[in-house]
Amino acid sequence: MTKKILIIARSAPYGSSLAREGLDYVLTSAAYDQKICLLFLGDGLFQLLKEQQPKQINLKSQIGAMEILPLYDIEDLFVVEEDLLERNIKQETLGMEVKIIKRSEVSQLINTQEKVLSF
Amino acid sequence: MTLHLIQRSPFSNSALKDCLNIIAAKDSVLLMEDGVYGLQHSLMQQTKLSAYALQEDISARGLDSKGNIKEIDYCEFVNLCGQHQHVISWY
Repeated sequence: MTKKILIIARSAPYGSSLAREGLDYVLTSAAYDQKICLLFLGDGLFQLLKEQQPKQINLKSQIGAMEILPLYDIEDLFVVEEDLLERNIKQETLGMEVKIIKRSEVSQLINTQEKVLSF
Repeated sequence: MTLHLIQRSPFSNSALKDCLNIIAAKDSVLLMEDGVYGLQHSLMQQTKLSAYALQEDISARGLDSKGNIKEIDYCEFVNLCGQHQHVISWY
């Protein structure tokens, strides 16, 4: 049975394994035909930076792994305008196509989903 | 309507702040585990949201619930989960 699932990614990519585990969950669910969308909240935004070179710390690239998302029909990636401003991140430094929403629109996004999980 | 579970201290982690940034007026907040240290934080002391805290976690840490934050036990926690469309953990 297909469900609409929202994954909230709140963790920066390399300080813990949460970002990676979240992405594993996303890809596994998508393989089982679940309708996934992703919300990058707070420090989760740092997962999207284009110029990640984690080879230098012997880890695999988070943004590199996310390039596969469109192949799984995952195209709804949301980021929050206020988080971009707070972290001094410009949209052109992100490595994926994202939709920018305001903080006040997040609860509406949550309400349109059947399941919500955070990593 | 969403129940937000805050599981980290707001003095060392952004879970509570991040949650309050996006929360809707009809949502509820439950402080649990180290999240109950939020009872000491101005963000919670001023809140107009429906707010709860797990009694076991409060007394384990030698705290008191303050203001309009209601102490609940695990049974009431389960009921709260059932009353909300979504439950989101913030850690």
